[in-house]
Amino acid sequence: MSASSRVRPLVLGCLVFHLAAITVANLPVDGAVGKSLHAPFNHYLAGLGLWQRWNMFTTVPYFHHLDAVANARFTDGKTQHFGPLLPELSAYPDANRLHGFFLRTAFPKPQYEAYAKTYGRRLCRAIAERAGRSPESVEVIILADRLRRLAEVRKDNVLGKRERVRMAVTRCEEGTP
Amino acid sequence: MTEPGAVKLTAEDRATAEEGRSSVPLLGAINNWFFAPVDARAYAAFRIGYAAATACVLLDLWRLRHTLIGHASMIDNAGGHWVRAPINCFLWVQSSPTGVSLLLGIALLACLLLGLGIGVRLSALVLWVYQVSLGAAVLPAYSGFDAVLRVLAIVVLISPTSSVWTVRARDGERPPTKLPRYGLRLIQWQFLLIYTSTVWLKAPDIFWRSGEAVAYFSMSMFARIPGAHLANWPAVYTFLTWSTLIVEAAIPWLMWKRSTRLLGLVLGLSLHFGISLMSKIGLFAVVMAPMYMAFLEARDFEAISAWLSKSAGLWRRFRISRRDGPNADTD
Repeated sequence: MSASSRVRPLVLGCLVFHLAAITVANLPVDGAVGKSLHAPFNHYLAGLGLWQRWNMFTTVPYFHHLDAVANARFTDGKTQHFGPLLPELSAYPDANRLHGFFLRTAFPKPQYEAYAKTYGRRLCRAIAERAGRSPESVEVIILADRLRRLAEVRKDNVLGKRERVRMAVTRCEEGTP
Repeated sequence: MTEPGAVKLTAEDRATAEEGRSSVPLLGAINNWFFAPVDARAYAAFRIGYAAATACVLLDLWRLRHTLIGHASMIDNAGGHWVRAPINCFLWVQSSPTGVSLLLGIALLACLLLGLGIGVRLSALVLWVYQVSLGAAVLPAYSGFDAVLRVLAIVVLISPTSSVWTVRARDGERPPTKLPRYGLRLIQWQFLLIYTSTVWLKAPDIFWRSGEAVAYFSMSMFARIPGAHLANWPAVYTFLTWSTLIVEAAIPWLMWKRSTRLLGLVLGLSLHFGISLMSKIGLFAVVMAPMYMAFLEARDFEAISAWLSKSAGLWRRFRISRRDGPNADTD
């Protein structure tokens, strides 16, 4: 028996395991068998960077336009507007990645709450550096044009209705890291 | 007689095939499914496509690198508790904007080298580390096209390599034309999963079911020119919505069979080209296109080569006739 023929079954086993793992990665975790089905593959998927879920546009986009602004409130009661983009506090650009970031952190699922808090803390720090004094609190306002129903759009060709979505207010501490 | 373009089997290949004929027929079939020799150009085309797609996504990320990566960025790059990446190289350079740029520069260089076929294994390893790290580091700003490149990175790393379509290939040198198929099989399976899974998730949605999804998409911030242009054309948007689902469901199966592969290729690339034209998510088309290469066989490459030669000949004749005038041929 050659070396290659001895190794071949092992390689075959690995390849079949890989296909099974990426297939299971696409099955729901919920349900009667979900968790136990995923369990044998979790470490493999995480270890090789194979976690996946292809849920792009599984429902329609909700917005026609997005913009955002960071409002800082200072201890003297004054407020000042800043661009929400770190590190330069620049204006909101039209970039898909940033739409994703703001939508995920403005309407946070539990897994994104920590990200929203980090973002708030870092905004405090950047604004303190820019303004020369630490703000009392920072609030990010998402200015979103929510898409109207098709039947309404047909009547007047107006695509969206302006909404102000307030992200959680961050209390800034003196010398915020 | 060997069919033109068919892969010629060497004694070694025959031995491999013999090995595949196990006493257990199922094992033999699985062995053959993974290890039958295939044209090395399929791997080469995928490698070049993957490198180009990764470079495109990287260049798109470049302008936002300090917004998304580093201690001064908007994101905690350590990743959420629900992504346990084995490695996150961005944590090494969090405090240095130059370090972030340098890391992305190294990844870009790896794309170039992978595309040229120089140090393929090392370049693929660098890109795997980069993709897995990015998956953990910029999670809230992560996109579907990032995910496609990440799950393919390991396949690029473990796929067989050759000098076909590399700068190492010398003129006149007959390159090894056959490689075991397992890498392409992993890509094909991933391709099947992406399309099947997205249809599975879309199909129960009320907007996809009612046929209105494309109309809403065309008004959204993801549309290239958002507007109400489709809103008054229910027949058009319903057709586009349902045909998107049908095409996405059909593509992997069409690609799998040689007799329907051309149809699958045309439908798939048209779908992605159409989405790129209508929307700002053109990068998704760029990352999906290389996966189609994994289905191509020797005969397909011969057909493409013949078609290109014919087109080049027609173009040459057209240019000569324009230069010399309509009576050039009669002189």
